[in-house]
Amino acid sequence: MIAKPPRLSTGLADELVRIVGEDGVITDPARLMVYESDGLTAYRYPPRAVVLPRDGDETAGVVRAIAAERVPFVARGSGTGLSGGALAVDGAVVVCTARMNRILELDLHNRRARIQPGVVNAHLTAATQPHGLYYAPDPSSQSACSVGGNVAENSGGPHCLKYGVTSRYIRGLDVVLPDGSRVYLGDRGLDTGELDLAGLFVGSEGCFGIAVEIDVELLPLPQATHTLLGIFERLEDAGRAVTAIIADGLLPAALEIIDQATIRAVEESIFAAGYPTDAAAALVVEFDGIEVGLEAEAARAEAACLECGAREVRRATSADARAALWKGRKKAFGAMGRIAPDLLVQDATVPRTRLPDVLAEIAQIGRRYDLKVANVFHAGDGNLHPNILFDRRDATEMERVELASKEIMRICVDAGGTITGEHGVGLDKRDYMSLIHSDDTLWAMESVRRVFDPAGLCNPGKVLPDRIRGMDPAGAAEAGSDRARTIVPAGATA
Amino acid sequence: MSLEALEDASAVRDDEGGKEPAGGEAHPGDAPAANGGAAAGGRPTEAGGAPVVAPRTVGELRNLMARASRDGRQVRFIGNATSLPPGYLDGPVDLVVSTRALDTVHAYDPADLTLTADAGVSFGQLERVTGEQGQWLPLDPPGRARRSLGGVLASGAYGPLQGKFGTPRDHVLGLTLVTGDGRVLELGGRVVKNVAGYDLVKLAVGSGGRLGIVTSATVRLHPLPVRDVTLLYQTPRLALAVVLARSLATAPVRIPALELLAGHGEEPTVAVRLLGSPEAVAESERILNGRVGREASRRLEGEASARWFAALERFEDDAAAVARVSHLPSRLGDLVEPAVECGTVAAHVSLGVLRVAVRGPGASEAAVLDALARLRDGVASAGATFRVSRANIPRWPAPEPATAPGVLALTRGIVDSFDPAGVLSRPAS
Repeated sequence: MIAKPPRLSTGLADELVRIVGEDGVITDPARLMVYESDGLTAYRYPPRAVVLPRDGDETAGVVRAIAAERVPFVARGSGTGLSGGALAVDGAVVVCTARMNRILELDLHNRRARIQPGVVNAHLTAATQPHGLYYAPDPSSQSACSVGGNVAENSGGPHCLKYGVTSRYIRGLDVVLPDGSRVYLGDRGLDTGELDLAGLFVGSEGCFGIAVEIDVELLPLPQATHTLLGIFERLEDAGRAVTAIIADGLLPAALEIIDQATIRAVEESIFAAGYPTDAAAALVVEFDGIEVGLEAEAARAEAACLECGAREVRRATSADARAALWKGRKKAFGAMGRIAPDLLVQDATVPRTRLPDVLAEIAQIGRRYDLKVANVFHAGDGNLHPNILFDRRDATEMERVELASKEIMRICVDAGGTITGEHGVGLDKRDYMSLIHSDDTLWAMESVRRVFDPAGLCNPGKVLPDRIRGMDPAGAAEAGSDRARTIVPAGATA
Repeated sequence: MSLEALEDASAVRDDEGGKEPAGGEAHPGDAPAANGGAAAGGRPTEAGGAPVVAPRTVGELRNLMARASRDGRQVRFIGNATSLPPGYLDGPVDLVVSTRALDTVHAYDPADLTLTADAGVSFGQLERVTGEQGQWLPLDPPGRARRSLGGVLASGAYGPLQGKFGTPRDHVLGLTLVTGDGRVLELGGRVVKNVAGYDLVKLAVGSGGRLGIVTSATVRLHPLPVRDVTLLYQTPRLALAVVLARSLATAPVRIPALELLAGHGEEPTVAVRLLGSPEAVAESERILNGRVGREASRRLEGEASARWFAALERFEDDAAAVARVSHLPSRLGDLVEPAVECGTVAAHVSLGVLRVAVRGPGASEAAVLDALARLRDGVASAGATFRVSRANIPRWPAPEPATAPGVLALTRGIVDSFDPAGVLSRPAS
């Protein structure tokens, strides 16, 4: 299903080279292949071209030039996204932020940094750590993913249980809007009386423009960290331990579960972390903060694990020992790549207390469709990652993967959850949006999108189902209470 | 006119001759909820000139808004009306919609640390319900106890605890919004992590009734801290208090609440609230005292600590006007000096936000306006933003900070999409 994109017009190509230089424009089909897919490898969309601006002014120039020719475009960071959000649908031009990777200002007095969007998440923390500060959101891909991409997806990570997700740490954004104009969206709506446009922009999946400078908030490094690894005979027991720890009034920095399928994948790989392969689940519990308080908290969490049936609880305080306990969790995805050619990383959230039921149902779905499902997840947040292992060359298996995915989404929604906790909707989950949102809500989202991008050129084909993107405002905006709200497709008369 | 409607009106209007400003407890049960109000054929009460209606269901509210939008009738929203923005009920208003009849806690699951409640539920009620389970909603906006959930979310109001727990946007998992044209939007969800679609929850929280009315919300709760300690550092000189406050703000400890209080001849005070395990609180205390090289002047623990900060929630109660000034936290000193010349100051030190209260009730209108103008000019030279968040005087001329044209265009477009007929309040510019 790889369609060849239209060519860039000579005029536009020349203009882009004029703005970003010869080395900042890629049109050679062989080099474009790198950009035809992101972390969701099942889809491929070759872009018309890739442009690599070096700063906000160049980005604004690039967007103006592209928009003037009514060519669609999509921003891309490191390409680690898992929902197809950066795919060049409709022959879009990719505006890649990889060369915008400078930390512009480190304001230690105010614990803030101003950075370009292409700064890699882990590099920001590395640069601030010597000053006793760090950037809290830590998606699993943090050694590769860009903060600009994190802003687009409102990324989470293991430690957002305690610290919250990306939107909590974004103070303001210098944004190039889809028509090439610049606007500063600031301060989370605090004390300005303005709408929280920065909060709205975070998580807008690249549909509202491109953030070219980002003001982030930094936190003081925790004084110490204690990590526990609970080994369980039954997955449900690990789930109960999570609830018991929270019910005890503890707030760990992270609460992560990996199941037996994942443990085995890890232990059979070069990433072997010493987790027992006969265990049904491993639970990583981490506390951070003031050192003297951690011992008592860790002891309470250990007691909760043992009470819920853990056969063993390992504890670590030194950096090396902690790294060893985390290894199985952190290398889970890499290890899974070794047992099947393809991996579908699913993402959904359910209320934490529903985890045991939902996990049991997911296991059942896996059996019914004869698929291998391995779970790695942010248990404290109820954020599941049921990962389906498959081989895309097997057409019937592909079909079963599709059906199983749908059922998993459905049970998560039925349990009071949602279709994505941190990976975003992108291209992948547009059709699931109607599982959780009414057409009225989807239309409200579309209306807001059109305010930012009336021409519809910015990351087309993402987030909202096509039938919503194509809606006619005249039909949808008509006020009235005593009729069922109907939405009129574009072109139809209201 | 109902007692509550009078209270509603007295917060922002001058035509209630001699009435006390809304300062007492709310009286949610006092006024009979008008069934659907004027638009739905009930018997309305009044706020100022406009009838007040209190729909009992989202369906009533939806019908009411759809009609108002169709007929071009100006509608304003109130919760317990203790903290309406200045001038909110001024101008031609045809109908005031109160959330007081939407007063049910719908779902509370302590094990999930989430709660879903109607907009009219008061913070006092939430405190009682969650406290029984050893949990709380750590959000302490001015006048908290008698404010409604919906009112706080609509205003985006917050207090000292934002230092650790964030502002309303960080507490809300989902909400129901009835738009200006009567659409019922369920935004967000009930789970703590959710990125399914654009984050319209962030847009609704703090939108000040410009997009619609929040009718219910799901919030994230936290376990009540085991230890609650307040440290009060007093020092006769303001400049020293600023240095001390900044030194604490940059300590390698996350401080849940850090406030600087000054003005009106009182000794400047830096207040620190520590929450957590007994061991962690004691260690934080040791680190902070070590950093500033002295013991706190006073130390409060448990109930006394909570009470001290609860009293600070009433900082704005008897003010004739309150202005909010914000800048980078490191600029605190530049702002505090001019601010104490104009009123009493309570500053969120780590956020860089100052609240400046011009005290009444003796203050004449001219004196209040003069103080606000001096403050505005005094902080403008430091490059701070200035906004009047509350004024019990009839006409504050509303010189709001100029909004950048790009932001204004986006705001207008968004507001138009939620309120196409323009029946809700609009920004002045």
